[in-house]
Formats: sequence, C-alpha cells, structure tokens
Amino acid sequence: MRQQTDVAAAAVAEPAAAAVYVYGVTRRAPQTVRGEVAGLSGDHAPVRAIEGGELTALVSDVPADWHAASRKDVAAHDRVLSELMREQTVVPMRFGIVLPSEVAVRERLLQRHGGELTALVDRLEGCEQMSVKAYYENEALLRAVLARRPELKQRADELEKLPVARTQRERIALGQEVAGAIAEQRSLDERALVAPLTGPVEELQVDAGASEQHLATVQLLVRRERRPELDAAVKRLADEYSQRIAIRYVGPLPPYSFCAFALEEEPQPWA
Amino acid sequence: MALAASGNRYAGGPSPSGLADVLDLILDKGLVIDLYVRVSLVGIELLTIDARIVVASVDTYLRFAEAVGRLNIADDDKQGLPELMENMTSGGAKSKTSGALDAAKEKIGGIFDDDEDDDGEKEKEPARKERPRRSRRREESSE
Repeated sequence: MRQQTDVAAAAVAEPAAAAVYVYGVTRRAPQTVRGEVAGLSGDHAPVRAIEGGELTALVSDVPADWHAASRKDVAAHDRVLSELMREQTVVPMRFGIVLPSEVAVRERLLQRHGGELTALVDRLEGCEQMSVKAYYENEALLRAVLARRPELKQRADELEKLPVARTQRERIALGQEVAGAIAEQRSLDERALVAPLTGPVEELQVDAGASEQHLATVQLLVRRERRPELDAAVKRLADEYSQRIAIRYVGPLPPYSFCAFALEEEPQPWA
Repeated sequence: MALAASGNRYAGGPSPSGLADVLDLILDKGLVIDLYVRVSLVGIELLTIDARIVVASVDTYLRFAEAVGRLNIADDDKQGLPELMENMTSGGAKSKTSGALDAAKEKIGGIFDDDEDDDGEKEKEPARKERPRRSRRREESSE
C-alpha cells in the first residue's frame, strides 16, 4: 500500500528554480550557515541566509524536482533547526514553508513582519523547548479509576450475571460513567504531572494524549540556565509515579510549540 | 533500578529527540506565514487529517461497551491483557478500535515509506512495563 503516489499527485506546487524553503528566522546570520549545514536535499542545497532589516531568514533552494514531502525532508527540517539553535535563538517555521523568491522572503516575511518576529526572538532568547511525555503503565489508568470508584466494579459484576440483551441500556449507562471516571482520573493525573514543572519554566503547554495510554505531553520553554532545575523536577516526577506512569523526557528542541501561529490570518495569494 | 535499564524510559536526564518524538511538532507547530504558503504540503496535510478522523470516529457505543468489559480485568493478575481482550464478550470493540488506530498509523507511515534511509525509528512510547512485580526482569522485547 503506497501512499506516495497520492501525495505526489496531490501536491500542486511546481516550485520555480528561484523558490526557497524557509527553515526559520534568527536575529543575525549564524556562523554555521556558511555552507556547512546541508539543507533539504543534502549538500546540493546548503542552508544560506537572507538578511532583511534586523533579521535573517535561513533558507535553502527548493530542489527543482521536489514535489512532495518525504520523511527525509521532515528530518532535514528538524536537523537544520537543531544545528542552528546551538548557536543562537531560532524561530522555527512549521515544516513546508516555501516562498517564490528571495525577494519574497525579504519583503513578505522579514520586512512585513519584522516587529512580530523581533518580539518573538526576544521572547525565546536564551530558551529551549523540552518535552515531557507521560504514558500509563499497563492498565494503570483503570486501576486508579477503580481505586477511586469501587462501586463501578460492583455494578459491572452484577450486570455480568444478567443477559446482555436485557441490560443493554444499563451497560451503556455504566460505560458512560466509566468513561467519565476515566476522563476525571486523566485530568487529575495531568494536573499532578504539570504542577511540579511550572516552577522552572517560562512557558508551558499541555498537548492532550493521543491514545488511552498516552496521558499527555507537556511542552516546556525553559531558560538554559534553569535546565538543571527542570531536569531535577522531571526526575522527581518520574520517580514518584514510576509504578503508574512512564516518563519520556526529550530535548532540547527548537521551540516549535511556542511559535505555533500564523503571521497572517487571511490567505493572501502572492503569485 | 529496573526502570533505568529500559532505553525508552526516563534514565536520569533528557534523551536526544528522534524523528518520532518531534514529527507532530514539525508538522503542526512552528511559525506559519499563512496556510497558502504551505501549498507544497497539501498531500501530507490531507493524510494527517484523514488519519485523525479515522481515529476519532470509532463508534462511541463500542468504546463504552469496551470500558464495561475491561472493569473485569483490574483485579485479575493471572491473565495478560491480550487474552482478556479476546475473552471479553465485547472483545470486538477493542479489536475494532485498535484496527482503526493501526490503519491510521499505517497511513501516516505510508508517507514516509519511500525513503531509503530507514533508520528504523518508531514511535518511542516507553516499553510497557509488566505488572509491578519487583523481582521480575523487564525485557523490552516481551511485547
């Protein structure tokens, strides 16, 4: 089952030779851009800087045969930003931003939105994003629910003895209550997860769990010098809940979660 | 301690990110000029949205029925989860649910299938721990 053909067919972009892919924006051109960071298609399209006003956009040429995003491109986007952020504060673009020309990057991005971008760089200065992912251990969520609401289990046992056909409504009602109790437990656990992390960080976002086992992911914007405090807080958390919740702690990342908005609300065709 | 032995688990400090860790951030977060500029990504957008709808539209009743059935396992340590799932009268709910999830995953996975640089990254959920029994060794490969 190959999706790739569909992806290629759906991609309407026919980038001209002059089109550029934008990775992010920094205050000034980092040293590493001087041909040393390989871009989207490796060494054929090294990352270069386009300066405009007080800001610099980090871009590379869009390969002429580039139709649709592949895993390699997504990885390249992250690799470039991760390398650049070691040197200075980078505002990461979402994957897939392509502008028609260098002039468009200068005018449409750096000049038109100079104020917002400068404010954003200031806000992120000296900070990095860390990610705390929390997963329930085997059935830990259900066990916690039953510990809090033992009567749910009793009612389930009673229903079990009765014919399904005659107790369908009761089963659904109980199921709804269980679902409610699960949601309640998740939000309790989420609060317990987030509370000890608020101290050391500048900003924090909670991404809801993507599955029943995934409790939540907490995205943290932390000043570099306060990282040890955060690391210690995560460690305490992981130790305290180790029987119920597994923690995966990842980073540092480009601060994607803290730049997650559109500069322009209305699409404005620029072609 | 036992937990530290497992690679995907918290082991005293942050881990460097793998693509699976940041994929949703790269695709969904970060700065956008406007959505029109993201035109070259039409294909990926559709597939991502599609996958989410599949997951979200799993029938509600089946989920409730499943929840009721699962209440029975909480005090039963003898059986593992998979056997219990099969034994349940409402077992269909679980298999349908995970079927939909798998299909969605497969779909997303398909986007990246063509690449030759297969570094074998998978969603890095921490390996499931066995039921808390201190003496038991926890093997990642147990699943």
